[in-house]
Amino acid sequence: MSEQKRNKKILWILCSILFSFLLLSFLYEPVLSDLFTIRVNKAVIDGQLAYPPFSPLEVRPFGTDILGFTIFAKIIQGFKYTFLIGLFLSVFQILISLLLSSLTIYKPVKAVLMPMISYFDKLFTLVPKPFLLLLVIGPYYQAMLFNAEDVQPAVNLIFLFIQLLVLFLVGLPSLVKLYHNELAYLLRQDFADASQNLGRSNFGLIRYSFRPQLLILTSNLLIKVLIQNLSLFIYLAYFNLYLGGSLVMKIDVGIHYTVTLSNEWSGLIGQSINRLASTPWTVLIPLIFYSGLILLLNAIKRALVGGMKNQRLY
Amino acid sequence: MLLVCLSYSLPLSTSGNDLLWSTMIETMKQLFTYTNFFNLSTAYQQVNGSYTFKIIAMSLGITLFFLILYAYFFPKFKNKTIKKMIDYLEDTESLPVVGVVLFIHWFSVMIYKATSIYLFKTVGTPREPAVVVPLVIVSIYPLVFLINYMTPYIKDVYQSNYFIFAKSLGYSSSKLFFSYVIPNLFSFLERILAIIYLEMITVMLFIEIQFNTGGLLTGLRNTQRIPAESYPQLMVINFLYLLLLPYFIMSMLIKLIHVIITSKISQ
Repeated sequence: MSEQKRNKKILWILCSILFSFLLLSFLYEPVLSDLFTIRVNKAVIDGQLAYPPFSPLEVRPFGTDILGFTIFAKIIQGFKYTFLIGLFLSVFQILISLLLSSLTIYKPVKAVLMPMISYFDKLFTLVPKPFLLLLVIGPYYQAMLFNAEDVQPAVNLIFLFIQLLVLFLVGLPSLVKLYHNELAYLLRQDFADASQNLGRSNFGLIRYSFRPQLLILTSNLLIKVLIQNLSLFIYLAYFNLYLGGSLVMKIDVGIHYTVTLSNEWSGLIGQSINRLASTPWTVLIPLIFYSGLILLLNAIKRALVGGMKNQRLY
Repeated sequence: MLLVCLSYSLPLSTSGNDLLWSTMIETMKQLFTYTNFFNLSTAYQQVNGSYTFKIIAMSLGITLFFLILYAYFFPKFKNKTIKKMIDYLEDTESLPVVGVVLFIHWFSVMIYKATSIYLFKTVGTPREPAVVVPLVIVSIYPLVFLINYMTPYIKDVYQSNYFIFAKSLGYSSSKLFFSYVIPNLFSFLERILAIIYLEMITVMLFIEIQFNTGGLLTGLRNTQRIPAESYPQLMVINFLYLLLLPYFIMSMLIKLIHVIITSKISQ
């Protein structure tokens, strides 16, 4: 009992940390953007005029990128996009896969759906994931750059939608398979047999009888899928395919710098990934935050599942 | 497989299915020509493809060696230590691969800057690629995954009745380890060996780009820059088949071993 209480306490603390960050990020546009220094164009350091990028020692707390935007402000602004895009994607994936797998209880649906699902599952595991994403999304990006002279917001939105659709479809088959296996296992149990004999319909079985088991599985999976999606975002950013679109800036003759428009964290990492040697803080600081987010989510998962296991659910 | 590669042509032909079909047929025709094989072998030489296979084979060996070491020393750990370790390993596993690769890269450079000790080669060229750091990074993830996955099985094997009886009869633990524990673990191991190989490929992609070593996956990435007229999808399919060749060989070998074992048992 005490362990359950402890888990609950930990869960509350972790969730409140997460939500306070989220609140901070949402407050960025209306309130905080006036308070922070967003861009440092030039500064006087040691009596000499200097131009960006500034290191964390010169501009507190995290330095600036090559255009002079402070990384601290960008991180705060981008957090809500990172988290919410990931969350929506994962929730949709889980809901759709739960729906599809509950449809597979019926034999004709199962006969059509399951071979397809297992084929795609095999396909997606065989091709390395980052390359798969590059392969599927890259051509769209090229086509879009080719078609649009300067990237419009609407085009960016369509591109974001395509990216999310691809990410959604890539993750779906394995989830459906997992839920299908779980349901098949639960259907073989004695209590499922009993309630079926007493006249429970198939959907009723899933809604009422399997709810405790499915709840644990789902809450466990939700965060796991979220973490997986977050790492997929980084793969995308590595190849300069940012979520929420990008903007190519000309810094100097022949030097281009692709910037994310949403300041979403994986995009922040991706946009300066080639500058690890010259300005390491522009890559490593968002990376540390990203890893911190993932570790936080992991801890939440552990507290959530640990707390549920001890509950008397049935 | 082929379908994914041909999704390539799909977005370019938003108008209809005609282009998709024509590219598909064209690609199939081109795939089995002599020129294709010739081009592939040239590309393989150019991108230094054997490097990828060498690194992956080496790190597979390292990973298996460490797993056996872990399994050997498993009974000496306390239960609590293992549970804590698994938690930490889970955390490590969920961190993004790119982050770890970048961080280790930066860290080794920092060490060199601070102490001017030239620990490892961090940036290579396709002719003289870096070996040590990539090897370490490629081995970390599969090792963590393996330990996470195998720990319950190792525990089961050690707590099985057979093991306890044999130990109480006075067999030495090292003899039991080689004659009972390893053969029993092998059957679980073969299931995930393929997954580990695929995971290694994923890590390898970032290492090859980051450390500028050249290799199969760099070649695969470079296919994105091939203009559309010279059939990039052909090269993509070629490279993918090359990468998955060891995977298929491995699964065939495991099947062969199974056939041999079952035939022995039936005799």
